[in-house]
Amino acid sequence: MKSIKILFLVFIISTLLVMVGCNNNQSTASEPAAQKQEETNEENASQEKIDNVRIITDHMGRQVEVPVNPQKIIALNPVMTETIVTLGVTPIAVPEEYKMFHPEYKDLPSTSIQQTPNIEVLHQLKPDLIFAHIRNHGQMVEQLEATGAAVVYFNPGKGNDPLLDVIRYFGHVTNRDVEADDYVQKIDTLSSELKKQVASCPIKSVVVLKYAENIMVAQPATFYGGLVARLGLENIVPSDLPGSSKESYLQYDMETIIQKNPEAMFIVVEGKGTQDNSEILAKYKNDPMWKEVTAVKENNMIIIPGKIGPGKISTEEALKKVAKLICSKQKGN
Amino acid sequence: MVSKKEPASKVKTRIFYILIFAFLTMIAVVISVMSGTIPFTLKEAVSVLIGKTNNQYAHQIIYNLRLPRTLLDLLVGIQMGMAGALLQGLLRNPLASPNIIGVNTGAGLAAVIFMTIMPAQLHLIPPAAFLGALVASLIVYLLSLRPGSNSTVTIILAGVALSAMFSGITSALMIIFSDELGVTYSWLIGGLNGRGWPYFEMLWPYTIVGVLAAIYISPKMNLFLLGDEVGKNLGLSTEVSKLLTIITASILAGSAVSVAGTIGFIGIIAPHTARLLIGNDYRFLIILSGILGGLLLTVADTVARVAFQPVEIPVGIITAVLGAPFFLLILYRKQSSM
Repeated sequence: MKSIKILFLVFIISTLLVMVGCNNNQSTASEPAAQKQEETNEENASQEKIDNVRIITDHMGRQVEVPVNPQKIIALNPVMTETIVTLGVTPIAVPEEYKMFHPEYKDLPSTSIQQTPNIEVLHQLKPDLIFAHIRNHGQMVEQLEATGAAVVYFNPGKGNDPLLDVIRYFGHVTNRDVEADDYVQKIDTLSSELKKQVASCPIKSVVVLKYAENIMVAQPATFYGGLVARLGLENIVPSDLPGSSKESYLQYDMETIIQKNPEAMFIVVEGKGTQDNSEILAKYKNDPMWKEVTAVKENNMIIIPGKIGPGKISTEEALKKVAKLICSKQKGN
Repeated sequence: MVSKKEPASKVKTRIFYILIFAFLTMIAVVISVMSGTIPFTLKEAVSVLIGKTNNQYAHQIIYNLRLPRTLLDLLVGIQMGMAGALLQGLLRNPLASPNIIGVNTGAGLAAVIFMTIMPAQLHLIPPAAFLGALVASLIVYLLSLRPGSNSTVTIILAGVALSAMFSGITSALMIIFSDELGVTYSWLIGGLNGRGWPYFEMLWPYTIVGVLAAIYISPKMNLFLLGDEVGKNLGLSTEVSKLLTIITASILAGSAVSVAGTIGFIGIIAPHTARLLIGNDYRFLIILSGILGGLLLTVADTVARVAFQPVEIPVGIITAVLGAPFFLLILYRKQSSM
């Protein structure tokens, strides 16, 4: 009786093992078909992905897979945001600083201030493409990539045209080269017209100063430097200074300013433009250091309010407004 | 401790060092006034300085640009050097500098708050910063008055804590109001770029008051070094002297920072170099610390101005790059001779 029980147990175990074995065999037998199907799916997805993405080398030298037609785009600083808006894109979120000067975007989600973007918001919004700035966001590559978006870095120091290189680059990345080219052409035409207007004015050489206690001058490779060049004016600050591609403003030697003796001074006042201009002008007029500079002697000091700044206004508007300020100075206003 | 019957030779040596460095400082001042983008002969420079020239261009460059800036280098350096020496003596801590009583961060925070409220009022940054420096040092002092506490240790700890807090608030404001506060950033990096006669006129009364007060306090500083108990036994009114020292250091450092922003290192290196050269007698140490501070800042600012013309680099970089090897050289020689 005991042996019958043992035999029965062996039979049950053997049956179970055979069943398991058969099951495994069945799987093994059906695997090539499933694997083939899976591989085909993957290939299709991969092909679809290849069809839907382009490889872009960004300004950090990274190879980035960017959707062919990105729809959900975010730029993490106001200048880059203004650029994508110029290209006809409505961003899905904007930095706080952009909202300050563009109230029409106040209802859009905020990416926080430009130096410290809110990564959680980016995860929540699931953008296709994020434009990041090499200086402000260079340390957060992995965090930004973790949002699932294509992250493209922009370095304003690259290129020669501080006003339009950005739009050409962003146009290429977002596959809106035509829109970018149209805008570049529009600015070229506008610049030529404004240059003619400004040429009738006696002002030829300028220096662009930041209103500060230290003497900080805008380099040619900056937004203001670009405006000056496009209006046909000579910037007394050379373009080959150390750090010219990295710093917007340089602490400058006053003797060189006196030596070059600019005919006009653009004084960039940061902030919302609520300052009293007469006090700003008085600072230069009353300082013995400045009084012999032609721009101060001739009262050719043109205050550029904070609202005419990169990311706060389009290049087109900035050119028009600055030309108008020069011309109003010419008329003695 | 200074013996009342000090060898006359030791006193002579100290006076000799003071005179030598005063002479070197004068040479540095002349070199600074002669150096710049535009070359002038010594004769032209002298004619401008004695008011016997018709050359308006030379007058503009030498009299309105270089001279006030060089004089400001001198005054700011003297003030930072003396303030550092006073605080190192008061706190009996070799690493004490004006920043330890919150002067730099207090001035910085006040300037930033002021510029947030009233942007474009640049001319009011220095008085606001001076007020901030005074308030910060006063808070540190009041915190140290808690009965039963070791006041010198409390001053250091309170200063470190308060500086950290002020610095944090300043950084937060700079980030939140980055658009309005770009102006303040250039002040915070420190330096004498863009400073002329108006700043000199603002600073010199504080220099006179501060320097005279520091010289007046200096004999008492020798008693501080012996510790509070011994000082009291020798007739030192410790709390009054401490308050007087802190107020003097605040006036010296606060007014210097309000004009030149935060320039580090001079407040530490000048007193230490002086100490290595002439010892710990504060009657001489205070004066030599001031002279060395003035010399270091004048040389450093001249280099900052002319080394990479037409770009000026922040003078703090030069004070560290020039000052540290000089300090190490003196330290090395002193140790070798011992």
